[in-house]
Amino acid sequence: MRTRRFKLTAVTVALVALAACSSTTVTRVPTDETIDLSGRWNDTDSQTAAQDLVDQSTATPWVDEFMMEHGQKPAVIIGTLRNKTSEHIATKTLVADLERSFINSGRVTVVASAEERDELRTEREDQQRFASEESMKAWGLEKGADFMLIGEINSQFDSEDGKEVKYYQVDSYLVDLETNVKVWAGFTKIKKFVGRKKYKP
Amino acid sequence: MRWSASIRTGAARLVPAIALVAAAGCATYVASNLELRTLLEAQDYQDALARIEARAGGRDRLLELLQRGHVLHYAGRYDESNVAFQQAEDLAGELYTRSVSQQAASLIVNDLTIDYRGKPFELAMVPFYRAFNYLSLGDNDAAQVEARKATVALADAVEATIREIDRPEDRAAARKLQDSGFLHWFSGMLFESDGAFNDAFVAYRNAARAYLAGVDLTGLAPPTDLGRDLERVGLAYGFRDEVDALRSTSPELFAGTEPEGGDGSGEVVFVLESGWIAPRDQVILNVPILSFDRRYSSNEDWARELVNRTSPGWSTDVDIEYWLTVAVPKMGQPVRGPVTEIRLSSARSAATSRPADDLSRRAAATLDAERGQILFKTFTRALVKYAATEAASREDATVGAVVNLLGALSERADTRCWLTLPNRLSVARLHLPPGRHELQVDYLDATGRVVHSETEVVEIADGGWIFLNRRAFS
Repeated sequence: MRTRRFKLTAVTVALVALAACSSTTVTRVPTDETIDLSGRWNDTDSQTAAQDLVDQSTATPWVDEFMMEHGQKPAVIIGTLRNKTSEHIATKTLVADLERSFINSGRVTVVASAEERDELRTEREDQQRFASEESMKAWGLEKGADFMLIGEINSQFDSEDGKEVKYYQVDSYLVDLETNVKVWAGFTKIKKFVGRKKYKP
Repeated sequence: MRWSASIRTGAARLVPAIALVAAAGCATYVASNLELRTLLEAQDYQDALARIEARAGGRDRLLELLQRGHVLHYAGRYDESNVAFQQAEDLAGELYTRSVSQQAASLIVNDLTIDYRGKPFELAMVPFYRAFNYLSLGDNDAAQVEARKATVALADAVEATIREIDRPEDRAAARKLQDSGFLHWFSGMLFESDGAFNDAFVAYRNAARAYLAGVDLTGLAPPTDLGRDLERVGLAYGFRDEVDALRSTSPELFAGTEPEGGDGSGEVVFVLESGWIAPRDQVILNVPILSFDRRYSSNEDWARELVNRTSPGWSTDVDIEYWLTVAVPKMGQPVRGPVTEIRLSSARSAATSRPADDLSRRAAATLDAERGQILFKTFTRALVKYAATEAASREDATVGAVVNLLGALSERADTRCWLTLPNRLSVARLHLPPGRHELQVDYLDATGRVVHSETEVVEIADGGWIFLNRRAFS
């Protein structure tokens, strides 16, 4: 009896020890769940900023004015969003979020970026040699953008005694590609408070 | 000697503890890791990385990451270097939160029981190396991020250090470490290379102020090229009043002669890293406990008095009850290395490097600012060990002796430091017209003799900047 109890205890201890040894845990979480670990710019900030900027821009009169004048939706290309913060920010993610928000708004047409166009042209060139005549896509029919969205991200950080306030501002402009006239200017702000504990056990 | 059974049992119980402390070794961090320098001198980066990996983990995790990032940088593995440096920066941020259990252990054993948090001048070098990593990878935007981080990182790290210091005079000394003329200047050049002239001028102006305020700290006057940078950007971009104000208050900033580095719209910035930074070393101090010391109401007051007794020279008419033996860090000597400057020449012009920063002097100033706090903590710990020895001795003389031995064996100074950093940074600037240029780089010793030479080929765009950094290991 005593031997059985000892064995049971030993097995339990071994299992607990094994569980303790496993230092990595992975949990699936919904992609729309906000998780802030370090306080740095993250996916939630990128999506929030993009949605806010697109909502602002499509709610202003330039879209309707363009449609009245040309009878079609304006074509927009997302240009460069320069990171002028003191933090490494994946601006490509923000560009992708802006593209998606613009497309989903249904108010504008989004055309491919310069990098994407290179790949598309290579494919089209390939089609000229290998695709059937009826499926082959013609040259010179690309849709040129009417407007380019450009912008920059700036930040101000202030810290004292383990507390830090992080302020990000994304400024963006829609510029008429023919006239260089800025038809819309907008910004969105994100402010975060990062608190660090002074002591742990 | 014959021991009673109880004494033998008591001593026997303490044997594993003694063995454990002894096994921890008496060698300081520096002594155990100097081999890294030998491996780097031989440019044996793979073995250097293996050496760092072999000692990975524990309380020196931050040092491991910093040195790993550094070695990978020299090995030309820039992406991996950035990953290691990013991990180091993240860890340094996490270590803001102090572990109470580690602090408690440090009051009984030694300061090596605490996670190494990095010195401000060490953490400030991370953006410098990361900027060069990104430039080498052709990612100028990311290099600009590092330029913006550089001086902020130093100020933040100094704030964290000040938090650890009690005495106002030590805090004031630490605040002097908060600025680095070189890092502002380097950031300014990166900003200017990106066309951010407003930011560049502000950085140059901050560099000038930091250099002027830090002459005592680094022993270096502001570089003459900095004066030219201030003048060029300031006058071209609407800062004439500020340039004039600087000229009237600090004429030495503009004391340089005609530009040495030729003419042309392009610019080559060459940063030479020479020698090895002065490491921390350990010194053993013996401080007397006097017969009248019992009057102190607390160990804190007593420890403060003991700090004042670290100076040598004791009158023979005082009654010394006990000698406390403590280990505290002191600065070792920097290794200057055979190369002290470089001469950069193209077919059209030449320039010689000028000293821009002295990391060994920054390390010494950091220890000076920390010294009071270190001594106070060391003596507080020594008094705890002394009290434990006395209490054990009252029970049993042999156990008391063993406790005393344990205390002595565990007494080690915290000499941890980023050992692979250079002693000095020097900068040479060359102005060149656009196009492809073959640059001759002569590494010179203190007498101006060429130690060795190499050729760099650079392609300069109109108005473009090229940043190079090279380490003279030997």
